Amino acid sequence: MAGTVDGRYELPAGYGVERLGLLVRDPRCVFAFWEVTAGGWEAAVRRLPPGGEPPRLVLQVRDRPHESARATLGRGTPGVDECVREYTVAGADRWYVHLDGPGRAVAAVIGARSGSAFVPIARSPTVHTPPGTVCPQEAGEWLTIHAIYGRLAGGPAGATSPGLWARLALSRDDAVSSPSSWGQASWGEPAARHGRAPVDAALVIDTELIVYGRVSDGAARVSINGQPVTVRSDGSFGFRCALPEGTLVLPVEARFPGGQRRFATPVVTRETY
Amino acid sequence: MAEPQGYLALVLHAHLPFVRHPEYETFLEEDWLFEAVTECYLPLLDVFAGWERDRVPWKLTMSVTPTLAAMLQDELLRSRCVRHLDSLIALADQELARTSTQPAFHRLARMYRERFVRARRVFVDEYGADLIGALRRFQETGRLEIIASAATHGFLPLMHPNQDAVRAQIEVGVEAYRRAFGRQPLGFWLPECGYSPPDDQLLARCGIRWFVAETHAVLHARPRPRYGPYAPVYCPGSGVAAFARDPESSKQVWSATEGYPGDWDYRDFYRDIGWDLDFEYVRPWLKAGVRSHTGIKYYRITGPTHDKQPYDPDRAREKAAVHAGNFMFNREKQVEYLRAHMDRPPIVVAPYDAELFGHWWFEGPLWLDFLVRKIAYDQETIALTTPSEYLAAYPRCQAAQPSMSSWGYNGYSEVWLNGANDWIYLHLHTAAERMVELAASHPFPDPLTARALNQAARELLLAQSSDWAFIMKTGTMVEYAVRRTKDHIGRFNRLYDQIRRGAVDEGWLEDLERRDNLFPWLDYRVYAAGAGKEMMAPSTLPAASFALGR
Repeated sequence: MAGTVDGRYELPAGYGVERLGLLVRDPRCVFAFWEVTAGGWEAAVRRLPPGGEPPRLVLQVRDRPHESARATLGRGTPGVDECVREYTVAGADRWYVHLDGPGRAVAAVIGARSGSAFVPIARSPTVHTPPGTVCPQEAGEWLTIHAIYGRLAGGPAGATSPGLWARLALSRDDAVSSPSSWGQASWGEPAARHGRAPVDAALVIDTELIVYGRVSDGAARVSINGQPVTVRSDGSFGFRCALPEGTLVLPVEARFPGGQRRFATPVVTRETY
Repeated sequence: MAEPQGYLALVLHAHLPFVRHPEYETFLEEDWLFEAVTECYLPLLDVFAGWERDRVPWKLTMSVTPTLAAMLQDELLRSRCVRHLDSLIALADQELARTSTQPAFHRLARMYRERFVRARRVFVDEYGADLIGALRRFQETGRLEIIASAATHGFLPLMHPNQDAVRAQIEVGVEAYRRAFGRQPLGFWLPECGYSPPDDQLLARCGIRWFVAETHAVLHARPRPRYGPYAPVYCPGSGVAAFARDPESSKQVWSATEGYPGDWDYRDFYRDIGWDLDFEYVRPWLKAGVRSHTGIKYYRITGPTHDKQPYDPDRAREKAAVHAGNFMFNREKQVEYLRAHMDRPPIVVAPYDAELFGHWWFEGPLWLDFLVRKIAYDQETIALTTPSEYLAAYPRCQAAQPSMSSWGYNGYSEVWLNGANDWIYLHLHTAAERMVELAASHPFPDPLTARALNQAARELLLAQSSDWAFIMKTGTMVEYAVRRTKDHIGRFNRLYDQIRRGAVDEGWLEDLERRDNLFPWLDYRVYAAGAGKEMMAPSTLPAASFALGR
């Protein structure tokens, strides 16, 4: 494309750079996305020992519960080993990884595997999944904003106290958390999505009536059922109305500039069976 | 009035994505703004004006996102909004004639015509088509607190670990607020209530004192907050306060099954004449020749049936009053219970999308009007407040680190990260990294390159809007959301290549600047590493932030 023409864009499959991203979806799931170029793959394969199994692209996810415990509680959890999962991901460029539990520190590596040999191609940063539960530790500090700033500058902290936690503790299931189904972008939802679809094969019938005619003088005034209607310069006019069930009487009156009046009254009956 | 037993903070979040298409004479998705103006913002402003006129002691918090503020200030969209109102009036005129044989509907057609005529008069004559100015004036009364939000409603947790991308969304959002409302914001609406540590530190650097988070952001905080969601906590790394959404009051309004808006006496949103009437009849009022909502709806919800009954405004009004009384009664009982266990009056934070009021829930503004008046005159247990006022009155809070969270389905990132939309993240993250790279490598660009850099930042911000991923997930209007994502990323990529090659296509750039004209003051250096502001200590904050107790 050139000049001022701004056409429709299609996005590239990749950007020519090895990369592995890791995003937190929820306490028990992270999402990996990556780009592995042909050159990056070939370079990794060359580093594998010769003569082994055919190389395959694998995603390794390292789940570090002890590191996350340190991050959230300020102390490690001795005896919990790092968990490494590995997935063959040939042909994919993204992957959801389900974890054993919440509150983890997770990092990933993508690379080439042949037998027991593994050559990394790209690494992700470490991400932390949320705890997903109420904290067992209630001890806390009660501060004013100024005390917090003081503490950030190296000052002392505040006090602690017990509370009414049990009454306030709510599980996620109790909470309402899907306002998006009502809100913002739902401006874009066409009616077909909610209730308009004939889920029980409903048939709705409506009828309308069009009354039209002509007067000999375009300056005449016409009313139908008491409603003035527009008379065009050629004397024609039209009126459209709902036609409800039963008998409809529609008095039509024309008033001419000379004072003459003319009447007509169509009577229409609708019966729906 | 003595100290109440508890407080209610009503928060209305007003947001629409930036939809502006000067390249077309009419554009279907621009109707989102026009419908919101007609059905939500003007009726809400009417309610505010009524409270002022009657000297009702009201308090309300409202976020107005930068994209919405920009659209409300855009001359082209303002003129198109007036055109939309004129069109509605003409349609209502036609409906007056068509329904003349059906008294129940004729009455409603007259109601719509009166509403549209009034909306046009208020919009054009009273407010000069400037709703931001109107909101600013209400804020100046001290009754309404308007808070800031992220630049384009980007879902911040999924921008991690690129702190520069998160910081740019926040800093540009705060700057947009200052330009629109002429003051420093104290509160911040995190898009989709999406919080992830340590975003509070970025908020602090912009002088923000508090934000609203989903309930479990505070419930799952470390250490355990003593008062759960009924008192704010200070984020330990920043001192910014997190206020949690109250699940009870949310459920009463949001719940699709139990919520007030689903009452059978309320107006049915889906039975619109744009869908109900003969296509040839309504076609002149439809954009792009496809059926859509016109805003004229004649039926009440009636029940889980296709056999809908005509809407009765009087009956619906009575029901709105009943529901307002019920909501207030529940809040009274709630705070009475909580107060017995707390060393301070609890705060119940009730945030809602502003667009729920009037658009989805036609009677929503009426309900809000009844609620605020009842709270003012019919009881003494609860009082309305804003989070800023509450913090000023009760500045001693527990320090606890809120959990990552959002108010989307299942409480985290699933709505914006799933099989329908996950393809966008490679492109969004790559673009964000490239923008940081461009900012670092072009500290002193020539004027043309500077314009290209600013436009690249604009395109990136537009691509990051959470709305596109949300729409892809909901499965409707998907084509538009995909197109917007691809176009903004595509334009960004092209700008990136041109800037790197030193060959900016000025004609094309001009065209982009005209089309995607969001934040004309934007400076791409917001993406420069280290460009972030230093954390603002309380003593450096505006004096107003400590004089909140009115």
